[in-house]
Amino acid sequence: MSLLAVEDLTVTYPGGRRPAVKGVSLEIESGRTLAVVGESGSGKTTLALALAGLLDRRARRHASRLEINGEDLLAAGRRRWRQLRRTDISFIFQSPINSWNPTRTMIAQVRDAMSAAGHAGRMPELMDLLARVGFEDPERRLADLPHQLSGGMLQRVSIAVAVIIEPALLIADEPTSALDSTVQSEILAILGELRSEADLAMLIISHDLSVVARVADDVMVLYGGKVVEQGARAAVLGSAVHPYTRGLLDSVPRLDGDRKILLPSMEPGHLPASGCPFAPRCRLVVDDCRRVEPDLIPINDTLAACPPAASSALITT
Amino acid sequence: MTSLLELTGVDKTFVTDRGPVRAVRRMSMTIGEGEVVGLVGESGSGKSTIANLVLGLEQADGGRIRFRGRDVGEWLDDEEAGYRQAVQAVFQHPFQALDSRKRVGWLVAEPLVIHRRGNSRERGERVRELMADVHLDPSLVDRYPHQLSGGQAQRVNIARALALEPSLLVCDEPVSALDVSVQAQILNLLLEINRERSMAMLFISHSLPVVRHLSDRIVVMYAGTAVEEGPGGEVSDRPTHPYTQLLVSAASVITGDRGPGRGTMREAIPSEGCRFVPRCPVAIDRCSAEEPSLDELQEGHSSRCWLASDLSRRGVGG
Repeated sequence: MSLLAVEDLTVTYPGGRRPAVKGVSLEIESGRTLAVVGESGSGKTTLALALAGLLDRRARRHASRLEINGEDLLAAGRRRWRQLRRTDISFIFQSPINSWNPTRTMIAQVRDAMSAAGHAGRMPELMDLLARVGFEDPERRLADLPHQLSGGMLQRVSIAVAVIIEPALLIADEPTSALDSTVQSEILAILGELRSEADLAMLIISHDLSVVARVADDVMVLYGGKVVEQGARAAVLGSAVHPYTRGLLDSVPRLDGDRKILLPSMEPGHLPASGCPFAPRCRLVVDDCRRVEPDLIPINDTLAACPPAASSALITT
Repeated sequence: MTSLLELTGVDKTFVTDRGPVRAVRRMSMTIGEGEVVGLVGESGSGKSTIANLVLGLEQADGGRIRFRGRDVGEWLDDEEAGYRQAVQAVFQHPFQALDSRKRVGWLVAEPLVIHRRGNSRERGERVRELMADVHLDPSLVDRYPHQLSGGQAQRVNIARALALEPSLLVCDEPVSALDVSVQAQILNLLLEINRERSMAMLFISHSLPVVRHLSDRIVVMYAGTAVEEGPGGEVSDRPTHPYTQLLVSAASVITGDRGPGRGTMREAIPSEGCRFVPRCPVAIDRCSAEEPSLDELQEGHSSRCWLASDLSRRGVGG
């Protein structure tokens, strides 16, 4: 059974021309990681907030199904969501320094987080875990204020606290974007290791495909609030068919790429009021794309919302 | 190639609450006319301090920084000499670098006004040219920064930097705050500018693939000094310093395996010997006792490692 199951989720903000998230369905099983890939304005953060019951009060949420651990949460109130976030859903945010109160020592904040989750007695275990993820003498380092620790260390603390309370679902929103590349790969390795040990379901949100490549089992690509392509990691990264996914893959500078070959042109444009959200930037665009909003259809090894890609896939294969 | 910018044995120490921090130690590097040099390193490696020293925003404690053979301090004292026109900068956060109360046209014209270039009609003409050069739609001229996307705002910063036709553009992490597809656009634009105007660039980033995409030569910095230096392809394909090898293995390999393991994290950088020892997988006793010098292994490719010639034969992960 899926740990997290969502069907047809749509979120609209007041005054928004289009929904921020539109018709998204997803499932994650325990022990699996789903990566949601998208750039600014794709709706990825709204999606994460909706899954943790953290949407702004003014946002309107519609879904035909929203379940965590088999519990129907469509009608759950603020109090139930707050409980869930203490015990069942953990969050890791992008900016390690903004995740902590700058005026209190780390140890005080960590203690608060642990007792709020009902795990006050497990501080020694947390110290062991911190030692395992690279802290020498964690008790001494946690006596510091947040700004006295590096971003990589702060993110290690966030991860250790998020994991040790044994949540069912871990949501990580751009957990490594603020970090150096070598620290990034260390943090991702730690996340992967702890996730498989704890057998929890993880939703990782990132604009960075190299991050996705390292941790995801499944990948979902969002554009303009819609899922434009989804599938297994290897399929999406290796044989994506949607022009947006392909463009994203080609935009990433690579060490083995030919130097000074210009990367493809993909300047963001305004989202159209109707039709495929990617149409204004798309090289495969046909008239229908501007009229009809495409649904996900199986093309090669993935599901993609792009009828023109389906016909060109037929021709090339 | 004649050298445009030359750093020789540059030192910079900052005094902090926790004692002095040697941000830059005996750093030497050169940039030739029209050359793109990529400076790669992690937070705290001193790469942004190098940018600030070159821009005259900080003063070195020791060593020399020469531009066209003349000391940067002298250039700056002689306001007529035009160092601030010849060396321009683009920074990481596109919006923070722009006055939010000014329109795009005003922002692009500002350097021309400050340096008294042309009358207002000529400046208007020049603003249109510059906006076209950085592929900004002319209709954006009356927008305020908050009405721009991150990529558009960074183009405005680049247009401002180009206004005075500098010989050297210092780019400090110019794409790290941008979305992937916008990053690619800005990198393309910088390449185009380098090619069409043979403008030299000091391109600073923590990402080796980004640096590799743009640079003729790469300098890898660790703990305040250069640990490897060479032609772009050489450094990324045949890294000879263990730190560069770590950067290569941490670089994005999208379709390949899941990358390196987590290794060990150590915060303390030793104050003598090779600074990389605590993180180094191949360190020997000599490394802690004695810091290696930056030695040339083959023409134009140098490494600060006692084991560099072994490592260059074995390659990454060998």
